Amino acid sequence: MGGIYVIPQWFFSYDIVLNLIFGIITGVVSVASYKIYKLSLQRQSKLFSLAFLSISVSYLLQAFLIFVLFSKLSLQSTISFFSFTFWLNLTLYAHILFFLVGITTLAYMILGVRSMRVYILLSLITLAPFLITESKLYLFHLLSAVLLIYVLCHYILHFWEKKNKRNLFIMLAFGLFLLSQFFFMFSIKEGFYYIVGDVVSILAYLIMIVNLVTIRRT
Amino acid sequence: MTKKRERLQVIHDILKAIQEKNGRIKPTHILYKSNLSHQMLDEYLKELIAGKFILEKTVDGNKTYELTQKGFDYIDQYKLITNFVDSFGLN
Repeated sequence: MGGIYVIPQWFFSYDIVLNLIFGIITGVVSVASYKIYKLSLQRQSKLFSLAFLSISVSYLLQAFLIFVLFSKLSLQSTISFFSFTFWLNLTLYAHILFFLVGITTLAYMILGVRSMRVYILLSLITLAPFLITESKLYLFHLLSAVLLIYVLCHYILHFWEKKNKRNLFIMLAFGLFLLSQFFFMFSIKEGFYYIVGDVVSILAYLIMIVNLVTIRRT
Repeated sequence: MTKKRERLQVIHDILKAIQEKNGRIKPTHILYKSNLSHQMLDEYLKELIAGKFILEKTVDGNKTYELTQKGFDYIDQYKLITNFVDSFGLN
């Protein structure tokens, strides 16, 4: 087992809903970016769309994982422990994989290079440490934070260059997104931080979706 | 202005030049309107043809370029494209 979050039991049902919301919002951003790609054939839009699609899938898997946990704990289902642990691990690793691939794709997009070799190398560097570590969840959030620091630097520079409200919002969204990773890191020991991490994440995604709506309305 | 913004802007200028000539234009007119080098224009035209934004036709032995529906859509949605690209830092 790669480790598990300490989530307060009363928060399980809220967490399923929140993860579904995260999955839907990131899915909407992915679709919007894909539409921009179809209109303009701009490569960055395609990569951004793929990155958010991957993140969306990771959240939907996370929702499924917590739903399985919740069902097991609240309904006392008859599923065997082996089978339960197997599916739990599989979903958890799939969540980690899709999320990290999404963030890596964002970092690759920001690098601005056109090389599949660079993308594969970045992905391998990000994913390979999971083969040797016991603290997979901790490593997951640490790597996400490192990649998000790089992504955030891009948005800070972008805001500095453009200095408009929308760029400020996107910079804030990614800043909160990064902050949430630190809370999730602490949540491995203390459940309260998991809730704070989720609250910070919902703020980040709300800013992102509001930004998207204002773009469409102008 | 950033490199990618210039690319989106150049594409817009080329397509707009074609639209202003009632959807059909000779390459020399595009060269004049887009303010690009001959080589750069060739690269952009190849990209636009491959992306199905324009069609290349030969009329009376002369090459002309026509806008496709996708080309018209690009012009219509240009503001949305640039707003999205700018906001999400995709340039």
